[in-house]
Amino acid sequence: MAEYGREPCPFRIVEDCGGAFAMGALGGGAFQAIKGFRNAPSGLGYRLSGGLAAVRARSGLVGGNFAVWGATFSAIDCSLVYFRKKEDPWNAIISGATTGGILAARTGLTSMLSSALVGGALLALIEGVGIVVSHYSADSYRQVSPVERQQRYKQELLRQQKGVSPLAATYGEIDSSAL
Amino acid sequence: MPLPTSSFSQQGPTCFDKMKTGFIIGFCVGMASGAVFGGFSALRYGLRGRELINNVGKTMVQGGGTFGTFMAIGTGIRC
Repeated sequence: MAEYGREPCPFRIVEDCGGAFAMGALGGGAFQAIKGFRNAPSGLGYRLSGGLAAVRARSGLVGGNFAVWGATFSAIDCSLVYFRKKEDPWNAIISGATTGGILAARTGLTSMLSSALVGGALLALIEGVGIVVSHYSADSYRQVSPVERQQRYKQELLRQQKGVSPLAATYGEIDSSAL
Repeated sequence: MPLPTSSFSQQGPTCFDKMKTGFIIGFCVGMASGAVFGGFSALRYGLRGRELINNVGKTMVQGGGTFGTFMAIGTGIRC
């Protein structure tokens, strides 16, 4: 995904590791809080302490898993940037597949291949959806040049004179020679 | 001519806007991945017809919710 707020390589590896840990710990903590709350005995005190205990027990583990994934992914991504001398979605897809394969290495070759396939497919989906969403939402945050702003202002004044604008009621007669 | 700033104010997306976009992206990715992987698993179990649609639909919504939550949190961290 084209995120312009990220650090350049190789510092991106450290930042992605920390960011992934935070994301996993917070997200996992939220889900574990809900699960612990529901599994605790009746009574508000028991439920709150159950949720807190579950968060303390497992959010670090979830964060650690996310951190390992993020660090491996980012290291491979930076290596691809170095060798290919390009930054495009294919880097992310290849990095996702390779990360999935590497982190499943202990469980055998077949599991490596399926995990690599899942990682690549998931990153392809992320890149694809990211491209689509950015294409549709980018216009909302487009910078407006001063010339275009003046043109909009003049158009708004003309609409007020013709009585088309809903703002016309709040203005008196406008001297058109001021434009 | 002085230009009014209230009617045409331009400011970047707020943190909450970015998190909403992150959730949308995550929800779409989660739904799509739920459809692909959930559909594959369901077909391998031999589900057909209404049972297949129900199972895949549930998997899609679960995947979308989970992935959307994580993406929103990740986007919030990077604000």
